[in-house]
Amino acid sequence: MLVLWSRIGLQSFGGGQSVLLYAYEALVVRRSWYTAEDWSQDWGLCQLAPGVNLISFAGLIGFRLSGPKGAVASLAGLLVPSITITVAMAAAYVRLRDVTVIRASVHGVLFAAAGGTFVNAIRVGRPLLLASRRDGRPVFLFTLLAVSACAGLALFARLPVIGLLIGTACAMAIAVVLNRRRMALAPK
Amino acid sequence: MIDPFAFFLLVLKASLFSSGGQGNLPSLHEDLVGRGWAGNQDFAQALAVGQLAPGPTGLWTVALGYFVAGITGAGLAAAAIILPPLLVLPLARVHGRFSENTAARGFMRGLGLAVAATVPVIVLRVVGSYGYDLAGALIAVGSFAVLLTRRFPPIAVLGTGAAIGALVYR
Repeated sequence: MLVLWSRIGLQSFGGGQSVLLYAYEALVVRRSWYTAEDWSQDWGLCQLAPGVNLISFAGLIGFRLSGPKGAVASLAGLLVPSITITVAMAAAYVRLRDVTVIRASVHGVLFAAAGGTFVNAIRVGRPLLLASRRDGRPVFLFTLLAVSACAGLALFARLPVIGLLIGTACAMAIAVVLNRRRMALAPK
Repeated sequence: MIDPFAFFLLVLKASLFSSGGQGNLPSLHEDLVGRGWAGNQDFAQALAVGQLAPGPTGLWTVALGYFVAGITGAGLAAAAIILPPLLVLPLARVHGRFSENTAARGFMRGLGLAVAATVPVIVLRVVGSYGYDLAGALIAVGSFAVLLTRRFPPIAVLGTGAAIGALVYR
């Protein structure tokens, strides 16, 4: 499992999205250690945990397959080589940043990476927006309002970010619960 | 000089109350820039390293830790981003109860949406510290469009950005 996850982690230069594809290929398609159904369900569960979803997922898969030891092996495999390379790249950059070509290329990569973060934001946000749309028009309108308010406040107001994130999360929880209640009361 | 324990707690807090690999960016940006422990350019470079390096994109925080406090910073950042996602293990135990819970689902949906709305704003701010120019805008919009199609490996897109950068910004 350690070796397997290291290989998965190391194949994924340039983005987390590919980690998921390689892992699926290795665990579901080639080894059938996991069924496709459990896979989707566990990935869904990881969306409910805070922080990096792939870390949740690697830990959970390892745990399901062989307990705490499996969790540690999966995480070590995924993270130790990747973290080592990340630190090495950061260290190399610190040493080489005065070299003109290096600085210029990194300058270019920054803008490309910025484009990538916007794509990530869409990938995170889109399924959640769709979920709100399935909840009906009031929830959907509320969601659009909340998202715009969030972006606007982050842009113009100097609010504590954690407050903004948790506030939005609570507002959304209340909206979804009220909506569920309304649906339950509505005549069929 | 930074206070290592405080740094660890700030990263832990940012990761605990956010979702996704880059969700901790807005909170970290606020806290670390506020204390003068990191600048906009450290953030921009850490995001770039995080995208280039293998593994989850969330490891950008480890690069940031390195820029802030060397190997110690990287180690602290790594520990602080690994712990919060492991809450999935107790979560999996109560799975049935939790995942059916409407309020919990709504909460995580709101958190994800708030992250998706605020991260781009902060990214614009940190990359903006390099100054906007035509080449930069074209690289960013081009990468965005190409990555959205999923047809090209991200590393090729970043490599193209590097090549254009090497030509334009020398």
